Amino acid sequence: MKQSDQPEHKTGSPVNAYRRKFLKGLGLLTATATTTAVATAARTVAEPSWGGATLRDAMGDFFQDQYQRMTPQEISEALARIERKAKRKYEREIQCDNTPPIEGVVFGYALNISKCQGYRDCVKACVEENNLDRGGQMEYIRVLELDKNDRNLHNADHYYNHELVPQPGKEYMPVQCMQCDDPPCVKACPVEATWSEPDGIVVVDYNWCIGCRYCMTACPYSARHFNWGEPQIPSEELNTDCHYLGNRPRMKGVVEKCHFCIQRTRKGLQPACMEACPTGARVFGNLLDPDSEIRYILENKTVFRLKEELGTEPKFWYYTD
Amino acid sequence: MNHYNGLILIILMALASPAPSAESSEQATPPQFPFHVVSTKDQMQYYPCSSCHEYIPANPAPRVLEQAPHYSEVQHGRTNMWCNTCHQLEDKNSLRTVFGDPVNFDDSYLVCAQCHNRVYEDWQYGAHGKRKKRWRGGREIDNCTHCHNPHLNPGFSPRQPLPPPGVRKGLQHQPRQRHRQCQKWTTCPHNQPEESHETE
Repeated sequence: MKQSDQPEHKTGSPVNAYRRKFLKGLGLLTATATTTAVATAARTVAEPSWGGATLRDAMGDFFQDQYQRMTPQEISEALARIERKAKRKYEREIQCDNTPPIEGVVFGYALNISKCQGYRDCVKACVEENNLDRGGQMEYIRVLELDKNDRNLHNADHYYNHELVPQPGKEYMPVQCMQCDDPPCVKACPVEATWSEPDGIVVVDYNWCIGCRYCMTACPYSARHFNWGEPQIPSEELNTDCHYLGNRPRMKGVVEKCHFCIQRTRKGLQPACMEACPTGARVFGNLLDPDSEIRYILENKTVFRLKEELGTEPKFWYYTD
Repeated sequence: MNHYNGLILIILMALASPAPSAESSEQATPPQFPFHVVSTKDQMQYYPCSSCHEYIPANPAPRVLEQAPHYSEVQHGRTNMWCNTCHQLEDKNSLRTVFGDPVNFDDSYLVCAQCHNRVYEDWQYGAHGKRKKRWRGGREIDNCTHCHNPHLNPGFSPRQPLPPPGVRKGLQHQPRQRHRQCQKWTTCPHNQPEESHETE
């Protein structure tokens, strides 16, 4: 059999045949790869690989400095980039500003736990106001349900789902960022992406955050939240009134937190949670103004702060009637 | 030494005596918290009351009001109160104080304040009640009757809460075990897994 086959392969040995076959296959493969590459290149021209942004915007984002170090010119350019990005992603016109802190104002919050009924209206208002991730179901406010006469937070439950609230024998205690005066989260940040503003609000520069989540472990109130995925916000529910340090649309892989609705309170409006509270249990105001409601509460009511012994000096007080 | 002691005592007394008077003068002028109460007259269903009561003879006797569109009984004050405790008998479009002075419906907090004076004080200074719109500038606050029904149960009625927070996969919530159920002098065993958890 082998001898009869031999004349047919006189021109080339079996090795050569394999070689030819191999080269043919390689050529085909190369051709396919090239066409794919060409196709990819064509697609790249139509839709740039830098997330739909222009090269200028992508570079601007990439080389953007930390907020506190940016010049006013750089800030206005950054705000314009944020607005263009939101326009591309959500097809909505947003107004992103950086309203500065008001002179002579340090914000404080007081919450009457004998009035809170546990309705969670504040939670919903917060989610809608602050463009929180609906996909990851992020919520800045957690309403703890406690037994009356037992303020042990070990026994608190914030997943309660009763038919009716308030349940007899229970009391409700919303917990959110306390805007500490000596914030441990700020100390933990290795890149200074979070800091305390002159009006006492602890803010995050989302562009500068590297997503290491050290601040989350440093916070004794679990008030910081991480965007594990790209935030999902229905376009029609997007709040278009944004602040650079506040509720502007965030990106994947950054930490965010309650900022006392910086976009509202710096313009004199109430935080969304306070406006939504039907019982009037929440009181917000200027700690430096002796005629403010919050100062009356601090001076005349029995107040306490959560985990006060840690020395973080929270600016969020709980009081009872 | 005795002379010195006496002298020191006199000096101390002289120093101490003006202090209380200064405190009392401070207390005499409490800080003024101007506020504006949100008007609810246009939301009142049957206001002006005189549109019906013009034609109904005034009858101050306590009874069950059978054909009245408004409240037929008063639970407030545990049967010690009747309509004319707070409503003017002659001029039905206004309220009255216990001394009979007329009070506008939008100033109804003045009627409440006569008995609930401690809450009134808190409300006046912002520790009770709901402020509207802005945290600074002119205070605009809800009236007592915005939240509290003055005729029947004044409290908030229980209602269904909004849904609880979502839980990330793998972190499903298990019913809370009480913290340290066992006696303090025994070693606490590990919490037994829930039965439902085992079946899953």
